[in-house]
Amino acid sequence: MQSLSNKRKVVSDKKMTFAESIYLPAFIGGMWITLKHLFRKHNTLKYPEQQREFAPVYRGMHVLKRDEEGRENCTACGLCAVACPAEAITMVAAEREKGEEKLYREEKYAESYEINMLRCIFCGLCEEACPKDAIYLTLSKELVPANYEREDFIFGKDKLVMPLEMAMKNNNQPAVAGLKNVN
Amino acid sequence: APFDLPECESELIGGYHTEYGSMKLGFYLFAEYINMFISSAVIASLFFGGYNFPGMDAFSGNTLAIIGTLVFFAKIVFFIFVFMWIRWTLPRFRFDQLMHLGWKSLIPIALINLLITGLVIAFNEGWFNN
Repeated sequence: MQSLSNKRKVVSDKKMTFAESIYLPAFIGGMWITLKHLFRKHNTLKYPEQQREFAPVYRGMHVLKRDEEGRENCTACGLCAVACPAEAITMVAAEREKGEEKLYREEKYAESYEINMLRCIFCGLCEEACPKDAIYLTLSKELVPANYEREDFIFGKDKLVMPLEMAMKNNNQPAVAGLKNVN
Repeated sequence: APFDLPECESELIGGYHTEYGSMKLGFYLFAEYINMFISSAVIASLFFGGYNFPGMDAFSGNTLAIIGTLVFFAKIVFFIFVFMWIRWTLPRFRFDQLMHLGWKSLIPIALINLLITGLVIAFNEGWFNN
């Protein structure tokens, strides 16, 4: 059979030569290899102190956007939940009451919106599916923080909705990386 | 010895180490490293000249003593490094191969070395000149 990698080596059980049978030349060869590796550039990082650079197209934590007046964009249509291949998103829709126009942009809103961060694969399909530009995967340097309880990885609206101050700040700046100001 | 066969340091657990934790394991490992240090000291003083170093005639008194101590410790550290070097180059050396190396290679080499050294000394002493 033709070899795929060109690294095929035919093995045989021929008798070892004297140099092979005393092992010492092979030892010295091996020790030379380890010595070379000692002075080579290391492939590992000292993780907590050093961190690897993120790719420019990196997708970080989700954010539920507010518009320039601080109203939530999400209308709980459920398209993100349908698009999600990991089935990480659930939501409960509710109707906007009178007097809540300042809080929610349209008549329907997400009463609860939960992403299970243990299921999420950060593919960004929710972002693509959203017709209201409500959900975005940010360039946040912070990854999903470690925790002790599984329940703590289900992020609700308290962790996902963009803070009001940030929405106001974005209103003044036309575009922020990963949080593009649409509308 | 450089080859720690029953322990297999490349593994997370090894032999009797499995049974110990915290301070007891610490004592065991500490004892092993002391052992390594002592072996290195013996090797350095018996075969590699102890505190002697090239050009030591230029110094005398306390300076010589201090430099000699440092040289001795440098030699010890070097041999500890060689121990670890071999240990991590050949982490799983097979036992029969080690026996082969020790009994069939190194002991004959040592005997030949002894013979040659003896012949050289005898030659220098003039035993063959009669």
